[in-house]
This record gives sequence, C-alpha cells and structure tokens, in this order.
Amino acid sequence: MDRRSFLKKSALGAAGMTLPTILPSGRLFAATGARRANHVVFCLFAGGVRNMESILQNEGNLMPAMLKGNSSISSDIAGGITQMPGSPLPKALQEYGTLFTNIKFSDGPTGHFNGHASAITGQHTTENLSLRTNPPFPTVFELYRKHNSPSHAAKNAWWLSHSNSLYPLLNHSSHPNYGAQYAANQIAPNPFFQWDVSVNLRHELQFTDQKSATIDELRSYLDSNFRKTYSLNNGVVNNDEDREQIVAWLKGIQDRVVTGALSNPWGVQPYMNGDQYNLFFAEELMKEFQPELLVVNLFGVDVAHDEYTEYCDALHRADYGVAHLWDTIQNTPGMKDDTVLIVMPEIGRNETPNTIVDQYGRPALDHTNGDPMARDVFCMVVGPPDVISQDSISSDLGATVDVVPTIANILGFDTDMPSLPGNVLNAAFS
Amino acid sequence: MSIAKALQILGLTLLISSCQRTTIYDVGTQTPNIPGQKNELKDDLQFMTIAYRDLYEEEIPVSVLETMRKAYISFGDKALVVDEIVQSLLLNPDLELPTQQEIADDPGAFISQTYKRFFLRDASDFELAFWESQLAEDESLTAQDIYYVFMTSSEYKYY
Repeated sequence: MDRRSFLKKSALGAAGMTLPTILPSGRLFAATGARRANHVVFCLFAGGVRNMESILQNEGNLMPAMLKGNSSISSDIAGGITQMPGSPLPKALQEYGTLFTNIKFSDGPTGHFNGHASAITGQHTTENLSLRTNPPFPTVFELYRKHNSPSHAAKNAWWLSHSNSLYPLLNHSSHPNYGAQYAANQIAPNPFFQWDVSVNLRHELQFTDQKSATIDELRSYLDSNFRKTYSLNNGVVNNDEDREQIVAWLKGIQDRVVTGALSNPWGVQPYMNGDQYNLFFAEELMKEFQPELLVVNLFGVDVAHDEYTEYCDALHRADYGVAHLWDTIQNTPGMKDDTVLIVMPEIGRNETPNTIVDQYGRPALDHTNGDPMARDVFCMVVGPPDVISQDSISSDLGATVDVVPTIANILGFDTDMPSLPGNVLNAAFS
Repeated sequence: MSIAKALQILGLTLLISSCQRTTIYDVGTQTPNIPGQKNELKDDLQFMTIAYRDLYEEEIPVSVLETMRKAYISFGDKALVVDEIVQSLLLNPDLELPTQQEIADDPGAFISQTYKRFFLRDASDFELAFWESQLAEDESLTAQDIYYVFMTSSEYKYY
C-alpha cells in the first residue's frame, strides 16, 4: 500500500469511527444535558439599582409592571416620574416566576463593567479587569456555543449592548480555548440605528445570483495571490446564509428608521428613552431570529450619580420596558412558552448619598466598593409554569455569578462546561 | 524592511539566478510577485480613511468618518460592517466611476489603474491577462463591481 492510499483509507476509517448517530428525533447528536427550555433572555437591569427603590419599594412601587404592590410613589418626587402606558401584562411580571431578594455582587469592584463582566462570565472580577480588551474568562455566549451539542451558530446568541463603548467587548473572551469563534453576535442598536448610519451606510449593491458568484470567483482569484498565514480579527463570524439574513434584518430596520416609522414605536409620552429603545430592538431581533440566548442590558438608571429622581424615573421606564419585552416573548412564535427571562441588576448603589441634590431635594447616589448596599441586588426568573415556580419569592442567599450556571442548566450545557464559582438558582424551578 | 523579508527576497533572487527547472518551479509556487510587501493589517480607522481616499481622492470628512466608526464599533461582525461601508462608498452618487465604454476602449489601462488605485502596485502580466480576459468574457462587469472585488479582497486589508 502506498502512502497516499494508506492515508486515504485511514481517513475513511477515522471518519467511520466518528460518524454521528442519527437519533430517532432526527437530531444528529444527543444534547449534552436535558434542557428545561430552549430560549433564555437575560436582561441586565443595569446601571446600578438599589433594592430600596426596586423590590423594597421605599419610594412606593416604582415598578408596577414587574412587582406586586400598589403603594403610591413618594409625593415629593411623584412629579418627576413619567406616566407610562398601562402594562401589557395582565398581572405583575414577578407572578410569572420567582423573585430572589437576597443576591449579592459578592466580590470585585462595584463598577458597571466589573458587574457586567461578572454577570456575563459567571466569574468574580478584580480591579485588574481591563477596560480595553475582552475579559479573560469565557462568556456565557462562548460556553453556550462551545458546549452545546450540536453546537449552534452565532445567529443563536446575541448581545445587545446599550452603548458601543466598552460593553461590546463582552461578546467573547480572550480565553485561549474560546474566543471569537464562539462569540455572540453583538450590536449596540441605539448608535447603530441612528439616522446618519441608517441613511448613509447600507447594504444596497444589488447583485444577481450569477453576478454574485462571479464576484466571489474574482475575489478568490485576488485572494489566491495574496495568502497570509495569520487570520484577520473579524470579530464574530457568521456563515453566508446567516449573514444574508442579518443583513436583510439590518436593512429592514434601517428602512423604518429612515421613514420615521421607529419614532416612538411604543407610544411612550413624551418620548422613549435609550433603555426602552434597546428593549424594542431586542424585541425586533427576537421576532426575526428567535435566538436561544439573548442578553440585553439597560443603563438609564445610572443618572443616579447626579439626579436621584431621574434615577427613579428611569427605573419606572425600565419596568415598563421589561414587561413589554415579556409580552413580546409571549407573542413570538418559537419563543412563546419556551423562554425563561432572567432580570437582574449588575450592582446596587450606596446607602450613603453623595452631596448632589436634585430639584426635588433628593441627594444623588454613587456605587462604591466600601458601601455594602452597592452589593445587594435582586434577581427575577420568569418562565413557563412547568419550568419555573410561579409567584414565588426566595430569600436564599445567592450571587450575581449564579446566573451563568443557571442559564447553562436551563439550556442543558452545564454538564460539559468547566465548573464556575456560582450555583444554579434551583429555587426558581418548578 | 524586515530582516525576514530581506532574506526572503534574497532567497528568491538566488533561486531565480540558479536557473534550474526545479528551482524555477518553486519560485512559481510563491504567490506571484506580491509585491507591495504588504505585511501590516490596516486598523479600522485606517481602512475607512484609506478606502475613502482611494475612491474619492480626497481626505475623508470628519463627519463621514464618525458615521463609519460608529457603525463599526456598534456591530460585532466586522466583516459584515466593513462590507456595508464599502458598498455605501461605492453607491454614493458623488463617486465618479469609469463608464462601460471607457473600460471597453482600454481594459488594460482600467485594470492597471485599478491595481495602482487600490493595491498601490502594478499588475503583473499574468494579472493583466487574467482581468482582460474576464472583462472580455463578461461585458456586464462594471467598474463598481471590480472596485468592490478589490476593496473586499485580502490584499486591500493590508498595507
């Protein structure tokens, strides 16, 4: 047997040994673990939210769409709280699941990026966390894409960041065993869909299929004359088919921006804030892609550094937005009754205010490492009754790093991934 | 020029000058004359700035660059967003492109200018022959098509 023949036969033999089993269900591989649901939406209710103004309702119920209770908003700040449309939900969001009231951001600096990184990687962070590079630990997106069997394309995992500064870095890590090849698709829709981008930057070269093929061939010719041994850092990579779908979706949204169709689509008077728009774009994305894993963050409440009452107003707006998100999930074929929504601030805020007083006479709030209240947050897990315990409250001690293992457990990839410091929030499950 | 590159060129020169068939064959498997000694990847801002200058022969206005940069840093699939930027530059009605008639009148000149415009080098004889044959075979190919191919090629990502 010559060498070439041997290699050929060896390759065939190896392929035979690794041929996957086709299961009766038609799936090529068995999932690594049993799934509780096929979709998880993780809303980082971020920007720094204290339990006092949220679940403890010290200013009255600023979050009536999410939390039970009808206590009136404190009279001295009520004039600064924007009236939201009625909740689209027939009952408070917490009644669709379990509210964890004793969650700690237990370790690391109480900064927003540290809080986000910790929630998205399931790892504690330190003051050494770089703000210029991807985090060193694999993100939940990479864990999901690498440890699911069968593995899933980037189109199934999305990170919608409120801003395009710093936070886009969280769609993948710099970990040598993970990285961009397992990244989520990331978009900061608020800047990306601004009018100037939507009008001026568009995929509109029209190629027939034949012309498109010709162009690909011609580019291949050029590329064949210019080989590089190292690859470009193109961020997340989508296959051609998925990229076409993404481009079509982007164009569709851009068209609506240009025609003014996305001016205040929820009819919030007098305007929708950035958080609400971010959630709106998350909804549009869900309708198109029905992603298995979607993380979206809010940030409006961080105005609390200067304006306490505006912070309460942002909380009130975010509350409406999250209820709207859940309503959309329940009206999206493919996600309805098969989605778990997790809502959690990344950090809290200080008990002790700073010296800035707003027009309502209320002092502002920072979030510093030495104030224990900056480490206290809540976590709400809602989902179908057969998966998530309904209208339940848990005061069990938990941590923000518990969310990643909980997502992994819901989507069934927890058995294969490396261990993490957090624990599954088992009290949430039916 | 890096030492490695100098050694590579020296090696090629020695191989060619040895005039042995096997050696000539080896030279032929090197990527043809590429030329330009391009080893540095353009960073994001460089790519956008250079793309604009290559097409419009003027510096990119700050507002245009800011719009491009905003889109670039707001979307994770960088290849997709670069493609969007290139398409948008090529679709701008202010861009003056060679007409089909101008290309047909002198395809060699069009290809030579295209190589200089985007790759900053001369096309090799092989490359000229290849492109001229492509233009002759497919008369529907426009300057916009050809520019798009060049601007989305690997070589264009380097300088």
